[in-house]
Amino acid sequence: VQLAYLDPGSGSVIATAIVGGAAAAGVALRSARAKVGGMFSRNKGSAEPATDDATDSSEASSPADVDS
Amino acid sequence: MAEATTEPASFRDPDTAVFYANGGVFRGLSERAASDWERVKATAFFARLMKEGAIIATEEVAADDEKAPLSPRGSTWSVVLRHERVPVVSYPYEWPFAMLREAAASHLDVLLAALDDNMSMKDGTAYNVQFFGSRPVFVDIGSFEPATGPWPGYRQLCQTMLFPLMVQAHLGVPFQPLLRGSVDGLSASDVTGMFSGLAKLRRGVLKNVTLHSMLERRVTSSSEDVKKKLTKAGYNVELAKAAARNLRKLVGRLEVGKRDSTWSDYRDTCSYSDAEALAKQRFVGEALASLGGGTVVDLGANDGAYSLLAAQHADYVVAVDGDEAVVDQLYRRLRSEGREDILPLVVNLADPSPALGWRNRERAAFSDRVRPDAVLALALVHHLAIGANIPLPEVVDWLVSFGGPLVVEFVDVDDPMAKRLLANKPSGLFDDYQRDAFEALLHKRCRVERSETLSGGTRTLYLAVPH
Repeated sequence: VQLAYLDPGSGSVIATAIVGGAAAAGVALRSARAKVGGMFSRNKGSAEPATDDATDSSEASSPADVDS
Repeated sequence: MAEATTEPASFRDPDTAVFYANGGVFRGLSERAASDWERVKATAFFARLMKEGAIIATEEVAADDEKAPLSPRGSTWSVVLRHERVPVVSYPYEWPFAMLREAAASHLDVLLAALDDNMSMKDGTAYNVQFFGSRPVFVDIGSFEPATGPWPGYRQLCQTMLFPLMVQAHLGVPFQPLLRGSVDGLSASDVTGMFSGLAKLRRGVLKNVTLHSMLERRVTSSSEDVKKKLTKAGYNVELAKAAARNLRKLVGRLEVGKRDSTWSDYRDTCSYSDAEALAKQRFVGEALASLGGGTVVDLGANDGAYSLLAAQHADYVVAVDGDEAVVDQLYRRLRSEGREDILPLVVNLADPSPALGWRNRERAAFSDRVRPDAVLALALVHHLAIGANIPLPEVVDWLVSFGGPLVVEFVDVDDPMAKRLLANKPSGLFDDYQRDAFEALLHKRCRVERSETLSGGTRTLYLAVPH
């Protein structure tokens, strides 16, 4: 992924939301449910799988709570 | 501001650039950047951190558009700031582990303090930090902006500081060659491949590397779009603070295991006697005292014993060694003592940092940044001439090229340390490595003011002033 200097990177923006812990991850999840879902390429235009992706993310983040 | 030159690395943010004029360091701000500056200079955190030395000393000067250079994009500046000068500029690929960790920690501390006053930063690169000796200082004043949603500097923090630290702490891979290989640092996808199996479970990897890289691949909306949607969903400054706090905690917990490098116990195993060591210290001390002040570079500084000695006579010492483990130990010691007069750097002197980045001008080469008033090269020449096969005349030329007087030591082939190096090489290859030959080379280029052969007879010290 080639990203410009002052572009924070959309994936990184979501990642930093998740790094913020449970509350922040909750917001990320909520925004995904509110159909930020369109963000995910694999699921463009489909609400449900988009939510799945966001759920994957928050699942992935919970074990990491232990180690960060 | 006659003959101003713009800093070649200062072009990525169109709203600000650093330039040099009349020996001073200045920063031009566009109209937009000027309005951010008005806000940040009125905050309590900014004044406090500047006073504490965590942010570079900065003052506003009269913007003299006719004399200040145009921005790299051809526009004039609304506001001009003057910054304190960093004694010697260094880069993250020259920092040992603890130094990069300190840079990351101080960057995040500045961010956390800014967020308390509703300000944030546009970016999060390791190049925002410079060192005054062991003290990290945040130098990118143009980076401050009002806080909105998620911190936009997270990706850069990961690429230039967090990932390099994790790679060394968790995998034992030194980050310096990796950072030197890419000015933008290590991407999440590069690093994902390095963490396999159980390494994925190490501190901070799952979120910052695995998940981050997955999101970078999958999320295709624009950054602005994502930011807006997150803000709309309730992402606020408090959550940005929580993220910064977690990152700060993570950085503070990253540590390298105990390391046994070739040089970490050199002082205990080196070949010369106490009497020789004392004579050497006296020679070096007297030589440096006769030169007076300025900046000294200690090439092959090892544990920094002679850098500490040099600091008694010089204003600033750059302690350079190729062994990351010993430089790391030296940095920790200097930091714990609060020393601001010795800058420890990891540089392989047979392969010093090159010029890097856009047009090879963005990051200057080691030899262009370190312009000392005097050079210490103790127990170094044999490592370059025998260890790295560099022709003896070239070694002397290189020492002279720093421009200042040299305090240099020549170690004979009969010395146990030189013998050890020679034992690894085919015999007869270094027949020209002789004290006579070295002295002839030195005399050709310098006036040798004094010299002394230590009592063991295998080590000779010279104070030589280039013609």
